[in-house]
Amino acid sequence: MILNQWLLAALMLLMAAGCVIAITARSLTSSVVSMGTAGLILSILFLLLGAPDIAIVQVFVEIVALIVLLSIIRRETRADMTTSGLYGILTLAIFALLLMIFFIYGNDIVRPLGVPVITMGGEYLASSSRLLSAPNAVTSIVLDFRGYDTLGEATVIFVAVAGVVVLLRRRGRKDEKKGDE
Amino acid sequence: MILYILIALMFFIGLYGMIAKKNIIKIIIGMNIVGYASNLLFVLLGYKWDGIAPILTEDMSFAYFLEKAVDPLPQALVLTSIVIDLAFVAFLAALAIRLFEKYGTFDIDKIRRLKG
Repeated sequence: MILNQWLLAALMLLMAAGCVIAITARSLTSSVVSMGTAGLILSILFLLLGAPDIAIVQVFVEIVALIVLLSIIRRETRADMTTSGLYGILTLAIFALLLMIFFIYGNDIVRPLGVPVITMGGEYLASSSRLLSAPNAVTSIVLDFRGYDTLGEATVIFVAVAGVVVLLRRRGRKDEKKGDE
Repeated sequence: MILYILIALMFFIGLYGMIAKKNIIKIIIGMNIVGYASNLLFVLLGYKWDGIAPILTEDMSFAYFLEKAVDPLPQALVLTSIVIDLAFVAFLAALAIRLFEKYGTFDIDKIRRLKG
């Protein structure tokens, strides 16, 4: 597969445009939908970069996040006009400063694209199919070499879901209001 | 280098949304965009030119697989990170629903003013 750097740059530019619209749009619906556009372009980028597993997961996660956000914003139909000027200017100033530092020192830190910086993956690849006979190296890393990471991920998801259930439950909240009155 | 600059741009667009916007939905969207940029950076750091997906098929010799496959370690970590991002968005959405039920608005300035 011939993959051009400019193709990646064009897709990324499209994604950045989606992000800009998502942040600056006045209508909340259009901003949420633009965020979904950026996420789906991101999944195409993952597919082109040799990561089909992540592309599938990204599509799934993006659609679920879109449904969640759209179901919140149906409560408020007013346009969003609010922004605070000072913080925005401050952020842009920090951005310019960091970009300047990146241009001065970045050439030493970041290797050019396509020359991997991390060499740990080679070790995993060399041992994964011999030890596990798992054809997909990502699966063997997630489930075997870094099984505790996956356990931690499951814990985080469990805690988040428990938090959502506690926040949105109907029982017990009436007692709270009675206590206030 | 231009790809890294574009990723930095996306990261700071998200950061701008998190800091400067006063609508809770915009803050959640900005956090999501920061997540996109960092995930993409990690996958890009593991990429090789003319690389293939790290899946060993039967008609492929192991030496060819070792030489051509992209780095699977960042992909495994990004897989975890994406799912945790989704859980975090769901949690923030639940918080936003509770705030809207109590104050009737998503504007954090008005929420602050109504605090009694």
